Amino acid sequence: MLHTLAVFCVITMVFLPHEALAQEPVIRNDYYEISPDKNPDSLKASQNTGTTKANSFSGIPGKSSSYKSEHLFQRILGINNLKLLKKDLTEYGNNHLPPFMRRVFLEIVHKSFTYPIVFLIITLILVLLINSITVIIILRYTNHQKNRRERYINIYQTRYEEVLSGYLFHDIDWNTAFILIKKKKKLLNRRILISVLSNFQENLRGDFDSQIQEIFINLGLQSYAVKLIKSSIYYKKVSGIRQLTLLNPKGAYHFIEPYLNNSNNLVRAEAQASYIVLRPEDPFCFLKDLTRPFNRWTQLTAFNLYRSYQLKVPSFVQYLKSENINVRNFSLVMITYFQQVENSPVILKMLESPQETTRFHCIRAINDLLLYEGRELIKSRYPFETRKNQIEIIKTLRNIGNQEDFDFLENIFLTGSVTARTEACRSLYFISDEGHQRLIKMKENTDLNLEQYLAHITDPRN
Amino acid sequence: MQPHKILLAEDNKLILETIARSLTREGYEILKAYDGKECLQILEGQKVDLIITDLFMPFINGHEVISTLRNERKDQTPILVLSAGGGEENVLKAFELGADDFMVKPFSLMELSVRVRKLLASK
Repeated sequence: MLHTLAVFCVITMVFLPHEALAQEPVIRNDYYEISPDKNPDSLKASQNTGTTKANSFSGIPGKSSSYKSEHLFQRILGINNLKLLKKDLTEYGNNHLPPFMRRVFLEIVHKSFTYPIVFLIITLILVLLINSITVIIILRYTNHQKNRRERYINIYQTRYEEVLSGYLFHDIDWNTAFILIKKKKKLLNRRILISVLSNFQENLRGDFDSQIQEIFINLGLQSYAVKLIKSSIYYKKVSGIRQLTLLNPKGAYHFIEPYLNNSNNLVRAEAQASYIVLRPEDPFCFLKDLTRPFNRWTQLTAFNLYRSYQLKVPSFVQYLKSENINVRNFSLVMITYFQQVENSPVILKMLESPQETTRFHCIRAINDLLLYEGRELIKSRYPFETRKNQIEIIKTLRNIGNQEDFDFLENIFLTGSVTARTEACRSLYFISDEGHQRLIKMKENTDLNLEQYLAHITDPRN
Repeated sequence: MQPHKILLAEDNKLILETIARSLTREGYEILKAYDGKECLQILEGQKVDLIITDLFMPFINGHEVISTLRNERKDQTPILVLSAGGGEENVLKAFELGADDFMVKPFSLMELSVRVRKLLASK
């Protein structure tokens, strides 16, 4: 709003009959008074309760009447409108602007209607020029700094790569390498060194592993990584955890353990992923004490790490007792994936869980592990289950059901929702040939459109 | 006897130099390319005994390099592919296009050396 007014003010200045309007006294005297015959610096604050001072503008001096007729903007707006505009701008300043801005604003308004326009335009141009020059100088400086930094990084990166390669290939001994690695105490150079070592470690294994870890410790980079871990900024913590895990796996666990239950999702996820890599003998042990959420992304990462590093598979039944719902659900999924059938009694007990998702994973586990002993249990739970879990129960019966379930499925087909009917029809159809015959019999005895359901479930696309 | 000539295409300069250094020590002559385009340009001018290429490179990737060599130029030079971990599909695609062997990063330089010897012997 203020901008619009200021721009409008400037535009107005271009076309105004300045001599005429300069004579106009302003203003609401409850705030500031601007006396046109005084210096603008003589603006003074007045706290008098205010009635608006009568506008004493009474027209244009004789000389300016011809000027008036010649002036385009004046002809369009009319001199009274210009007078009102100035008054409005002044009132706006008095009523809406904070005191520290009000004075400046009113001065601008006053000068806009007083001084020769050329002077103001020149001032405006000068301000714009100074602004542009300042911006250009800042841009050039930051660009120069950025390029300088990049050049610096490139130079030292190449230098460090050469020295470290020489040491790793036994062309030079450690003392020589240590001397050749210049400025190693500088923060940026430490970062460069860590990036070079990480690059080695991420791409090469076997031959250089122990040497790279030695270099990491001998150059004092471990303390830098530990400092990062202890930082209060979360991404620095993540960076420190990653560096320690990659470059000093033997000593990292001790520093990472406190962050397994961290309140920050990203820090916690990074610490958990590191734990899985650092503790191959029991990669999921941290789940026992996990009280914070074990989010889906970390679960996927954990599983991916398990596959990449071909880690030992623990018995996940131990984590089913966890109070953390994420841990319980993850364990159920893992039990199903790794076919840990020996845990069936515990899985069946989990059907009593108050959590819908836990029961869902439980029903799915019964299905995938073919736990026939759970058949009656899931049927008995059917009326109390959510719709999603009911569908899962019907799907499960397809795999573990038998003739004794036909009445149950037929009842669902006659009374259930469309999805439940479709799944019940599918289960009946695929349990056995007898189920198929039962469907044909139902088709004769009921007026339900069974043919459409049969066409749907036997379509290979479904 | 002239040393075997190996073309090494890899965009990671550190890994390129490290592999080159390792193979040079074993007596091979190494030609270096920092991307797929440079790799194909080098192969236009001279013949090599083995190509070691990364799959992900700027301008022209490893798959395109293999495809161009096998299908367009009918070049049967043995190709060893370096691939990032977890990229089984990419490795399978490389084999379909005509690669002879692959190694997943992180890899051991000793293992690389053995595979190079084997590929050169089977040529």
